[in-house]
Amino acid sequence: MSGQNGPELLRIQGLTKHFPPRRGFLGRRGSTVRAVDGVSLTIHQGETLGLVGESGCGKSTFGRCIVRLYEPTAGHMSYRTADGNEVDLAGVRGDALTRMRREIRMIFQDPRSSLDPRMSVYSIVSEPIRLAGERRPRVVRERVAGLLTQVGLREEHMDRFPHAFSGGERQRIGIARALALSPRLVVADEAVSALDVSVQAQILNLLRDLQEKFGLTYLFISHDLAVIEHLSTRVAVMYVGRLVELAPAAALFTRPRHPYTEALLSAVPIEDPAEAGKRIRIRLPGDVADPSAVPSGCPFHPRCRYARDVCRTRPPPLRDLGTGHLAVCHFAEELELEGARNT
Amino acid sequence: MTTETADLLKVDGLTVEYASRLGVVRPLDGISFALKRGRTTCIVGESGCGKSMTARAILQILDPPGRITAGHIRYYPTGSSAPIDIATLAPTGRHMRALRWGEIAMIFQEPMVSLSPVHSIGNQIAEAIRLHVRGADPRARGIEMLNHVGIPDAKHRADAYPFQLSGGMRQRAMIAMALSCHPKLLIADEPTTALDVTTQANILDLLRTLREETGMTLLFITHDLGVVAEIADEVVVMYAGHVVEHGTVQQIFHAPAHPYTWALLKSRPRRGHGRLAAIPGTVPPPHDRPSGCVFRTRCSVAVPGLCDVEPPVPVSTGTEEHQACCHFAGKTPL
Repeated sequence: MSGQNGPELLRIQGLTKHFPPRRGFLGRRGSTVRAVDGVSLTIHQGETLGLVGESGCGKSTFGRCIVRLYEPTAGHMSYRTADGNEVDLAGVRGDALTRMRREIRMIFQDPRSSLDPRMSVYSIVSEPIRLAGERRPRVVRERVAGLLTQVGLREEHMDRFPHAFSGGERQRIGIARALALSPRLVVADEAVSALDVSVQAQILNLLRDLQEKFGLTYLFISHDLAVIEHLSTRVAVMYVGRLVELAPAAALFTRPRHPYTEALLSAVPIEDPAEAGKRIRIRLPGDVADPSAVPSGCPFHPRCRYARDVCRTRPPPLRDLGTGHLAVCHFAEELELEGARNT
Repeated sequence: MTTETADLLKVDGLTVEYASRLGVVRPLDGISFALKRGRTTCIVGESGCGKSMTARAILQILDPPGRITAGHIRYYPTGSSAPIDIATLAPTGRHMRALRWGEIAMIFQEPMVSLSPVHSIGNQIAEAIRLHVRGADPRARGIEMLNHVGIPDAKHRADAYPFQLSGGMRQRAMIAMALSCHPKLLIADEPTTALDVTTQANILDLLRTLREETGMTLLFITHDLGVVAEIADEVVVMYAGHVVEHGTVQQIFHAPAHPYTWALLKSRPRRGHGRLAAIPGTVPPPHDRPSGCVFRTRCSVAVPGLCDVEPPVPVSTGTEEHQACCHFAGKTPL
């Protein structure tokens, strides 16, 4: 995987998505949920950018903004199209948006709810092809057959319905649909989280093969650090709507520069009973901050064991620590943080 | 029985069946294992392997039409007493109801489903205490338990309803309730699967500490091998309604004897960008299990004429407690 230094495909600047307050039970007013709050990062062509964080950190909202399932509240997403033009995904409408959606596709978590139970596999996979204007039945059928083979299914599966397939096979159908229009960027939101380990490995291998074959770029969103570490070229860590760290995968896992990343790595179970007892785990006090009431200063400060006065008052700036390692922490340079186990 | 036994619970040939459109289905097919007193045993396996059903069978809370049709679940309340065979007790009878929560308690994956949404957590714990512990002040003891499992400001939180608590706090409340009657056995069915990794780490720490403090036996059900390595003393590996291997956690991780265990360990994503050793195919559904060895359709060492005909029997590999259900256990290096 040499995608790390590929040309820029998508440059995201200050992406923000706020959800307006909902009028709650008994007419009580909530407050604005800052699901994604000023995230800037760049995705390079051919790489897999892993996006990791705990539930509620805004990683899914971020992915959904990129495919424009959500309208971003603010920010820019300049995308370089196949023919070399720059398009701001945050602003495209109409035909231009439709064109973008051919190049940027999404794979969802739950293959049970993301496939229409009343549509045959053929209808599901061919829908994007037909919407893109290809109407000749034989051509469409051939394309679908080809796609099914690519993802490890068989041609004769075409006329069956989703309920006849296992979770792993359904995820393959979802992948075939995502690939139908030869996309360039695939946003995979927890694409393997609902699968059993043995099947998860099959899908991870498949995603890797397809990337090599078609030169795909992935934004791979997951809460599972082992999966992220396995698949990613670079990894971005989010916490309550903000980016806290971004680095090449190996650097992030061996030498994290943000205390939250350190705590996250320390919480991952070690798959070796001989090592498991020895480690001292960092306990994070309290719960993940509420995105509708983000703490002042650094949003992680109430749970951070290195927090000082400045963390409570001033939001930390993004620090470039060299070799593509970014961290949003006042003390990113001086802290000596512990990485994942040395295996 | 006069001999001291180190086991708290012995499951022997346990079979669960139910009738369906597709004929009689056997989600659990003659499973046997033992829980050592005061130890943590993990049942590990993929979805559909029967691990949750095993837990529910032990508590006699199987969903109808599922029922135990063969086998024994022998429960030894003390080291020297005669065993109680749970499999013969009526699910709703007096004996079974006394055992449930009183002696054997269970916590579930999503506490929101198992907690009542319309009662405060303090009242729910108090109810369990009132039913099973004599002479205790239910409310005071409930608050004490909440405090003990690390719920801050327990006195006030006792009046909170489950929806007012975070996922981790709900699981703590559930644990407090389960332990409020001093059970000898705690069954934890995927208690951390719905939680974030940092919360999971805290809950695992809590369960480990509580087990050491109380000396209870813990049966922990999970699909996550990382969690197994963290918490287990003994491991039972299940596949398609069968126990395929059991042994100590070191034996299972460092010297797996069944091809399924080996493949499961190999298929976990790791650092580095090599291909993963995925297991081809999927777990067969209970109505369509292969003949002979249940794993043979996905097994890399299966031999036609043997594995598809002859169901394998448990074979000891080295020590008595490490057994694998494979024709080649101990013969073929994995």
